[in-house]
Amino acid sequence: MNLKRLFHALVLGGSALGAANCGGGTATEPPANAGTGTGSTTLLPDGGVPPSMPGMPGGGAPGW
Amino acid sequence: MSSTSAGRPLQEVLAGAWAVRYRIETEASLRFGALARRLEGVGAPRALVDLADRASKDETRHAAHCERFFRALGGMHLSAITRVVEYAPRVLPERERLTYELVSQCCVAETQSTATLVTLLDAAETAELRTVLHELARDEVQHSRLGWAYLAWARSRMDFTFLGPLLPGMLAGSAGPEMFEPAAEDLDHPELLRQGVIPQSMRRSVYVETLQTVVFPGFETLGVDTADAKRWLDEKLARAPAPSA
Repeated sequence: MNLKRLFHALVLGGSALGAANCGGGTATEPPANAGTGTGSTTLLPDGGVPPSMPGMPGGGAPGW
Repeated sequence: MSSTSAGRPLQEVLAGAWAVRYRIETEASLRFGALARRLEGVGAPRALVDLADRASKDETRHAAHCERFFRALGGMHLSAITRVVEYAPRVLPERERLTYELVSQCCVAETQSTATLVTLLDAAETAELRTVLHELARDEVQHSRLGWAYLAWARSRMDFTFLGPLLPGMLAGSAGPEMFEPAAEDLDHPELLRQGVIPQSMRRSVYVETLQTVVFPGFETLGVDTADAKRWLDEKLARAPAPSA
């Protein structure tokens, strides 16, 4: 496997996409409280996310 | 029926791997759906929101593939993940938590999945397996790109300093408890590779090489400090058993 090619495809490909969208074209304007974290509740399709529990793993396992 | 050297039937090991994947894919579908809404909430570009929405649908399709392989191996009982919790420390503000979630899910987990899938694709024994692995690898490329695209978009809007010290915990969660332990015999059988499951010792080498060649350079390119992450990896490797010849 050529990991350098993977770096180009994932990191540089993704970065180019992000950079191309740096100005305008946003999905919505940020709500007034965006980024403050105050009183925000994260909703998931199943109805809600419970608070992080002590000892929760800090990262997602690759499925593969 | 073929057996591993530990006596556990190979078929059972393979079915177990597809069952775990099914759970991870169902969880990822929920997670990407939630990320899409949160990206909308912070005014992220539509292209990123669309990528997250599409990823959520992709993961549902992937779960169906996993179920099919699981059933073909005689597997009976599967359970989907129906609730997910955030990986990010709750003390962080929303924007930082969202960033943590995207980095963890996309830049780390999906990048590692892509590398593993490409490795499996090279070794797959059957045309059916190759076709599915190809489809999955193609999708995972987009899921990984979402994280790198988000960092490129967000870097001028926020300070990533908070991320560096959190990377070791994120990587530890991603690697899981067995990654740097001696490989269990039944999970390290070379035949697994041709059947679509990466043997444990090989999994470690792919994981480490992908961190060193893709993930860490990616973070550095986008302004995320990797000193703590590299120190974490060095410590893990210093204590890990030597790879088998």
